[in-house]
Amino acid sequence: MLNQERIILMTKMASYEENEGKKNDSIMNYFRGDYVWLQILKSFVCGTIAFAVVFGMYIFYDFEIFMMDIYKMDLMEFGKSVLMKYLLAIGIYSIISYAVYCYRYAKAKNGVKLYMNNLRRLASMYDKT
Amino acid sequence: MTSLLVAKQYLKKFYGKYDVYLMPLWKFILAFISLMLINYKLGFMEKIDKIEIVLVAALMCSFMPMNFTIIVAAAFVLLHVYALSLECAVVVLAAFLLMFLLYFRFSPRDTVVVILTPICFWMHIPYVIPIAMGLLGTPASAVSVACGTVAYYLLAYVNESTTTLVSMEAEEITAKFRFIIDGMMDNRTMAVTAAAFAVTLILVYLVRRLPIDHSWTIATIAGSLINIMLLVVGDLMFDTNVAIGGVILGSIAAACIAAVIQFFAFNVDYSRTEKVQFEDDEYYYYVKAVPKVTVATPERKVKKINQQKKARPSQKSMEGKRAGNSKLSD
Repeated sequence: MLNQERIILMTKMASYEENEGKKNDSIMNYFRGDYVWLQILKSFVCGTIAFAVVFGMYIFYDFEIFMMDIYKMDLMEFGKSVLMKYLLAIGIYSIISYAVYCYRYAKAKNGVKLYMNNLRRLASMYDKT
Repeated sequence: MTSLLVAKQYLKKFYGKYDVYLMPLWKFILAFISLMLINYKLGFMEKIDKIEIVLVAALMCSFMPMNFTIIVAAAFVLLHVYALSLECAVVVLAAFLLMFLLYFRFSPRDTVVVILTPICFWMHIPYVIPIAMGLLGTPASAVSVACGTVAYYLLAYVNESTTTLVSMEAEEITAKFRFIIDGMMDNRTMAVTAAAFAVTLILVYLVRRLPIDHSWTIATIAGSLINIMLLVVGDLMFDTNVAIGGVILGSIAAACIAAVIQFFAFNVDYSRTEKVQFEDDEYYYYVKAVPKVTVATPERKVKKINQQKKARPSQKSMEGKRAGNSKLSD
């Protein structure tokens, strides 16, 4: 005999497994700290490349003037100011990454918790029959 | 209205039944349209400006994840721009890299908006994007829409400046570079449009989430009005030369398309709204339940109109004999 409630629950669970479940499982393979730090590391690499691209464009924009001024300017001071801007940009980007991935971890944890509850409910339905 | 609802049910059934074939078909159509538009609008590299190449690329995209289409479209744009000028290609590559590295790492699902936004711009219905994404997406989609707007204006600027770039000497590398970056950074229309779209999207999202009746309709109308207002104010403040008539007509078209989206995504019957209160050990619940509008699809009944064939005389006599034999045996 078909049990409608059981079928609805199983359909919901199958849909979860097919869509969000895969992503959540890969997130829940890590501890919270490990996951968040790994993502921040990735963000750091991406942010560094992005900063390099912007810096390259900035230099190339006024390349002739830059090449003329390079012998006159204080290179240490210039390097310091670039480094400060880089640290600021990376800092802001890392904070945003931290917030986003903390939220995602919490969301994935809730999703998995809900799935496990549904699994228990399903098991109890089978036990009753 | 009932016939529309029945049609919707049929469409839903059809989509559910042939989902396996329809998804690749949608991807193919999207990839084909976007690549054809890129070839039509840019078309500097003759080698890839061929329908066979577009068909093969679109076919590949149809069996790959959605993000593959974005990569193929970006590659087509870069190749065309590279054929025009190396400096242009460097700037476009840098812009794409920044978008992919800084934002799409967070929300890879939204990348499709970056393709849809320029397509809608070229189809003269760009105002539908912020309203549709406000109805269906999240506030984070505002960044995707802004990225799509920047991509469109960048390509439009490259397209407009073709003659200037071609007339520049090959040695003037930095001058070309500066010309493209200046054109991009000083493009007030781009900045105003991107900002207006982002604000519209967030407003539409906020209004449609309100617990009020007809929130989606109110969000659509409010979004269209605020979009018109922001673009007009932007024009007055920054002299962006926006065609007011075009904006109004485009916004009306956007509202109509949003109504279609609403019909498919959020069709509820407010006249049957139920408000209930109950409690458990920990909370009081004040629940407002709005039923969805649904109709049962009419079942097809096959009615046989042919009468049963009359038994032939020879058959009758055979049956009579059989009946007689059975009586005798009894």
